[in-house]
Amino acid sequence: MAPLAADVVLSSGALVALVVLGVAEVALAAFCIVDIVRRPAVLGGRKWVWALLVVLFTVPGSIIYLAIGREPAPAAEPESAADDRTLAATLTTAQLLYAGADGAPGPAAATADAAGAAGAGRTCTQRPPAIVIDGLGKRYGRAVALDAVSLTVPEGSVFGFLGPNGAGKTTTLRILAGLAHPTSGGARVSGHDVVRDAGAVHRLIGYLPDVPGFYGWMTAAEYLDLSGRLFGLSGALLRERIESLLHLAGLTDVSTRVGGFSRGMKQRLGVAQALIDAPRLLLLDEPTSALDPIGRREVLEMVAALGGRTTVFFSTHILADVERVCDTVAILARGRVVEQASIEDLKARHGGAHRVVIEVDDQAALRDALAAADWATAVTAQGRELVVEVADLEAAYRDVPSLVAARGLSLRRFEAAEISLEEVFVDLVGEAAS
Amino acid sequence: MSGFVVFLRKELLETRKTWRLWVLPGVFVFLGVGTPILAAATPALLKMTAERSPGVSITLPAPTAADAYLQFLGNLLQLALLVIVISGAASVAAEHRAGTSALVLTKPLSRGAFVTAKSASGLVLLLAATALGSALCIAVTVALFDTSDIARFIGSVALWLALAAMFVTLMVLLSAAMGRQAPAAGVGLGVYVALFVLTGFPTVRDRTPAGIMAANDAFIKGRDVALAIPLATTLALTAVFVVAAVYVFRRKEI
Repeated sequence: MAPLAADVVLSSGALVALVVLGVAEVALAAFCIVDIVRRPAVLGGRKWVWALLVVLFTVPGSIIYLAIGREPAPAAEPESAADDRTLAATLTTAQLLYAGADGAPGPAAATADAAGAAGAGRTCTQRPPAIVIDGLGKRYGRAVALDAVSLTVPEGSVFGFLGPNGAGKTTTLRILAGLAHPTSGGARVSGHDVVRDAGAVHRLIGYLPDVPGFYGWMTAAEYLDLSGRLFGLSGALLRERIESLLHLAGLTDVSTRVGGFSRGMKQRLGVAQALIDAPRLLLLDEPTSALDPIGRREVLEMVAALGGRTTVFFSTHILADVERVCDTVAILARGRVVEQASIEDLKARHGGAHRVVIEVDDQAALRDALAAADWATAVTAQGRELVVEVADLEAAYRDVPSLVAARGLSLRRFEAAEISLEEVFVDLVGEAAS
Repeated sequence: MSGFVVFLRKELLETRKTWRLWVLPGVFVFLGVGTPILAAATPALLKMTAERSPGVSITLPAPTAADAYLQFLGNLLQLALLVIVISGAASVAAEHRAGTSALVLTKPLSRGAFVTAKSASGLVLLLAATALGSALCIAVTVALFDTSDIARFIGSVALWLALAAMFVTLMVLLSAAMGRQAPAAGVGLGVYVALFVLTGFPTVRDRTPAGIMAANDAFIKGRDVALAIPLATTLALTAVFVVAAVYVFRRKEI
């Protein structure tokens, strides 16, 4: 038991310490108040709330503010980025990543492939399809996200996975990447089951989600370094990859932390991190949705450059992107694959391969004659034009001028046009909905 | 566990570069420096207050080093454990919310390595913060009082450290299982309150981590308490929580 003090006095040492403690508390709070005033943005947007917290609860309030209250200042897009990134740079990066062999995998992919080949008793020259999805189903409670989806993606193809919003594209990609589990059916990536052999699958894939999440405190180079090391890369090879991919993403001179990046910058970094180990399969979920026209063109050029070197599975609802780079497409609607074919086959199968547009001075006089022609499958009037879907384009070229001349009409326009993928898409998705 | 070392390195780097470095070590530094000063000043401050109120007479014992250490340990048991619970609730859930886990877990990083690295980095941070705060507490206490009770204080802090380590791994488990910070923090606080309540029931207390809570001041006060079973239970639960976090997280959708 401590002795009772007849006359308790504050020692000079304790007094000095008390003053120092008080000064430190006030200094910490003052620092936080100044930071709140100067900072462009704080968490939640209300600076006065944070200031009040700091004033009322000096030390704990300051610690909480410093911990979570400070929003990073947004980074500016590097002005030189657009000029800096060229098709040549894109191609160079693709060649660097896949140098030495046709679709040679990185070290992690090679390990997975060797293990997979040994397990399955096959050689590397007898590679299975890049993706085989068989009766894949996914339910969230009563909602059906995927309903017995089946498709096969050939190795080396650039495969467009098309569908309207909510069709199940992202769910399919998440299952392939091992982030979600199927309710029924299954999927294999290069022969590896995505559920039972997720570790091997992760060594083979590069994945870019629709909204990639990065550690905001890292720089782009630090994130690529982390990604590369997870794949077992190190030393000069890793440094070379990081340098090349930063150049590809137009982030070479950006020292800002990722937390301050624009969405486009994050998307470009997302593409770069997915490529770090030269994956055998690149899974891209809506990769161009957040990009400006230049960024979009560059990503598409990169995807096109990767064709034949690796397999690209590319989900999107932007049909122009698919027509530009993909060789094969699957269309998903309401959780089901309604079509899988090459783009040419798809156009040929749905509504004929071609159409002709005709403009004459008297539309009505020609319309019935066109409808009666053997080669015409449908005739519609669109403004001053007649649009004719044709089964035999050569027959149309031969007969249309004579039909016009026989009726004494004046031919103002006559040209052939292909059925667009958009029209096929709308037809198929519309059929699935009905 | 594929990728453990790389991801642990990232976790430790994140601790150094982000708010994590401020919160737990900040609280420990504040407690380590402030508690002995307040322990030394409290009687004099109370006396000055009493002198301004006619008719009020306060007689207080002279403050000692033991008072400073006991106040520090009391703060560890309350404020520091609450900080561990609240900050630990974000460990896995924050990565889930931000989408960062989805990107790293599609690389050769196993889910087991992910949550184990979270626990390991949390324990490293706890150890470093406790060592820093305790060293500061001893230094200030020695400067203001004397060198008595240092060994007993270190023993008490080591005992508390075992309890805090259990809470670190518990919060990683809850954060992984629930996927959201607020519910994980709520359940963690519930466990904390439940342990406090159990300190009032000797039969349960002497077989659970509640025994460590109850014996927080035993070394300093020279009280004789049986700690073998509560300590063993606490360490066993720490290991169980790590294994359970791996098991639960492997089955979660990201």
